[in-house]
Amino acid sequence: MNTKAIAIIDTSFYIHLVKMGLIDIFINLYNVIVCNKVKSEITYFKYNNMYVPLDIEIFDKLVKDKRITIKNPKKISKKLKSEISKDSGELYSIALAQELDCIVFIDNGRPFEYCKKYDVKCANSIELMVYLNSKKLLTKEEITNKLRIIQNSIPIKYLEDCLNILNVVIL
Amino acid sequence: MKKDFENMKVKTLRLKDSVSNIIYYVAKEKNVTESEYIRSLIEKDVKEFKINKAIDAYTKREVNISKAAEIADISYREFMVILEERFIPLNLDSFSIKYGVDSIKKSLKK
Repeated sequence: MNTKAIAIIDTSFYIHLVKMGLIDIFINLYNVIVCNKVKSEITYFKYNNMYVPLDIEIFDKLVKDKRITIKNPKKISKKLKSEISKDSGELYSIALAQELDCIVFIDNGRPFEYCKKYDVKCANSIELMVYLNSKKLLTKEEITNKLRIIQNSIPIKYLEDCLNILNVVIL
Repeated sequence: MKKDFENMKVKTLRLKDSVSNIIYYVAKEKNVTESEYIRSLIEKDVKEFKINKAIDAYTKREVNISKAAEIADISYREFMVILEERFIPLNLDSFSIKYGVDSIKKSLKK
């Protein structure tokens, strides 16, 4: 058993992580756990049978290689149920993070309020990049290129705040 | 095909002559029946209606992505793609960058 820290990840975070080519570095940092609901959100795909998104293939391989573990929370608190959409991946992910006292990665702001209120460690893919930059594991140029990939999904104000911290300019 | 019809209801509608003529020609051009063509138009509009409802609820922060995808009757990833294509950002602005980075540091502390 390795001694890496545990991280629970949500669907939006996983999709962005693969899109930005950060999955390997992330898997090296953490023992990654995914709830069944998130697994079904990641793998559910009904466009057509001709094409399967790359992140689904990667996910299946990581699960097969036991680099991602599937686990569900034993129980979900009433407080959590009342604040997060029921039967969502986020709900199960936060419940499991509370149960295991570990970090949860979610690329969606809404559950953040709950996490802050109840002192649940919580971050998103952009904050991960800021951390990686502080540890010199990712250069500013690499971050700029990665941010461009998900630029449309990031609110302008939030992006500006991040870029100010990193002292980076995206044209 | 017979099985498909079993789950369908009959609705009658009145159309202007000009629209009715266009439907006839478009259906002929697309090599489908007029019923099939009208059905596809309605289904397309209903799908768009549901997506707009979901986007509205998501941008008002009433629901998260999972729930919004459920309202739109599409998959989670499809909903993320739609948001991206329509330049609608994820609800990230309430996130505190400092809280996130500190959480990562704490989680990796030996």
